[in-house]
Amino acid sequence: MKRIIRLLPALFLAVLVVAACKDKETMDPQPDPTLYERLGGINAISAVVDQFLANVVADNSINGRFAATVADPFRTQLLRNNLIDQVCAGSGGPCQYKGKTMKEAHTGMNITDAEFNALVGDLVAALDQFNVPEQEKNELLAILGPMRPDIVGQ
Amino acid sequence: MKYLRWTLFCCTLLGFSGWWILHKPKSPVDDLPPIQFTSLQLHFKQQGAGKALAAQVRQWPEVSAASFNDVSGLLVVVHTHALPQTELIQRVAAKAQQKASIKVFEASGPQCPVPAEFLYRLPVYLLWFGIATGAFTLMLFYRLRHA
Repeated sequence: MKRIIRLLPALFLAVLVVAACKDKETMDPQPDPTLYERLGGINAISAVVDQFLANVVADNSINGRFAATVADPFRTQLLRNNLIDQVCAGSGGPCQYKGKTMKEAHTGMNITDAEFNALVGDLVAALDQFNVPEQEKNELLAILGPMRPDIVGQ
Repeated sequence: MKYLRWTLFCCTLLGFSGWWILHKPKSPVDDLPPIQFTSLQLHFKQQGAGKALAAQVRQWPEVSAASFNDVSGLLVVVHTHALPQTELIQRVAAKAQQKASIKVFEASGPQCPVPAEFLYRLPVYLLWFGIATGAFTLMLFYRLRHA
């Protein structure tokens, strides 16, 4: 009997710990996965961005706009890394976009609606190639859509 | 000597503060393998042959993306440095059974005279400048104290 009494405080402590853990579980339900997680993380995003850039460079309706960048391997790498950072950060990933603002980057370029639409077409083709589900595709395009006024006609 | 000490001290401050202001946070992108783009001009008589070739090229382990555009006849391959450009051209030419020529893109219009790579690495250069001048400054202060 004395032994049981001696064990009581330890038992009480154990009950308290279990209860606290259970409370924490009920208070912090698993958050919904971010778009970044649903897309498959940094490797999946980099694969889509690489395919998107390959589509753009092959597309002679807009590849002239990227001639200076493609001519310099370092600038090509920088553009690719900035795009990955931008998509990663916009979709809730652990990245920070370090490039210029869209307005700064496109000022003086006079990009037309047709060119912008061709670019979006190349992006959609890249997303389709990797069978990105419709919901994730729309969420991603919704993140990039508001950038249009800062890119077109600047 | 006193003038040199303080000049070096100011250079150290300049180097470290320049690095602090300009340096960029580390990103998961920095851990990805670097890539390069190779654009090849090809001519196919058969519709869809170019796209089929791009699909085959995409399966190569060193290739992260490949795209063929029927209108431009361009096959653009994004690959790591594990696959040198010359080898890629040979492999594509063998698959396509034709000569593959590189499409050279030329920059038009005014360009920044400072190379992009230098601007990108400027924070690191400033950090090293700060460390080097800092070491000299400490050395001079130490020598003066024990002179």
